This record gives sequence, structure tokens and C-alpha cells, in this order.
Amino acid sequence: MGPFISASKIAMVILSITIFFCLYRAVSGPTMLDRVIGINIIGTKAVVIFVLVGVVFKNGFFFDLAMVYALLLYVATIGFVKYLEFRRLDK
Amino acid sequence: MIALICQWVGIFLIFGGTFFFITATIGIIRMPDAYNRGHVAGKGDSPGFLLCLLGAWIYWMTINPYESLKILIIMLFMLFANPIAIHAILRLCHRTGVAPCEGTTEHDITASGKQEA
Repeated sequence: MGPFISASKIAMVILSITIFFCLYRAVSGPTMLDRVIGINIIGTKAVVIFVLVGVVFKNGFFFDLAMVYALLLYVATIGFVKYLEFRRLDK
Repeated sequence: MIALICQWVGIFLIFGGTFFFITATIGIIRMPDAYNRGHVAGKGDSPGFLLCLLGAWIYWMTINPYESLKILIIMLFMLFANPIAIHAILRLCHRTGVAPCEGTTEHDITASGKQEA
């Protein structure tokens, strides 16, 4: 239990609170693209929280999870935007 | 001694990243239209996750140097992926003709969504 572990816990709590405010934007966005922006920010914060969880539990397995989540977030956003633009995914 | 210095530098970095995330959240709630929100999302998130992951990397270097390269890979990937994703979203906003907010002085989108000549 060093000071870095306690600081990571505090940062994780702050990030979790800010995720709820982004969730407000993702739920009640006026347009569809506002929701996509809100979900993108939520995913970025989730990657940071995964890495901090790995630091707190002293387990490098969570870094793999964060890597896969970052890749999935990027592919999901690009796929969603392509679907909204062309209404199909093979272009 | 080195471990203690890395710990305090890491604490400073992750709280700096948390500050940037908080400013990005305030912007995404308060900004008036989708373009401004995308601007805040692209500019506020990138230093946020860069500083947070840099702090975690510096701390994890003192514990397991080989595993810490994973954090560096995540950082480098998201440094390229996040602005590209936000750029794709905002380009779609512009192409589908999402109306800008009141008070925008210069824009080339008409009300019907077509681009002016």
C-alpha cells in the first residue's frame, strides 16, 4: 500500500463520477452523433480505469483487457459512423 | 529512492490527467452543439489519457519493466485512434448537415444539408 495505490483509487472514483455525467450526454443527446461522442469519451475513461485497476491489483492481466478494449472502441466507433453514413458496412 | 521518485511523479501525472478529464466532461455537458462537443472531446481527452497512462507507466516501470511496455503500446495506439474517431464523427456531422448553434458567424451548411457552392 504505497501512496500511488491510494492516488489511483481516488482517480478511479473521480473518473467513475465523470462517466455518469458523460452518460447523461449519451442518453439525452439531441442528435445521434452527440451520443456517439459521449460513448467514445466513456470508452476512453474505461480504458484508463482498466489500467489503474491493474496497477491497484498488481496484475498485468488487466493491461491486456485495456488493450483489447481500446481496439474494440476504435473499431466500434468507425463502424458505427460508416453505418450511419452509408447504411451498409461493405463500402 | 528511484522508486519513491517514480511514485510521486506518477501521482502528479495521474491527477493532471484526471483534471483534463474533468474539464472535458464539463465541456461536453455545457457546450451548445455537436461540433463544439466534438472539439472538446478530441482536445480534452487526449492529454487526459496520455497523462494518466504515462503516470501508470512510470510507476509500473519500477515493478515490472516488461509488462509496462503494454501500457506504452495502449498509449501510442490511443494517441492515434482517438482523434481519428472524433474526426470521423465530426465529418459525418458536417456531411449530414447537423445545424450549428446560434451565433455561428461562418459556416457553409444550408438548412437543407447541402453544401453551398
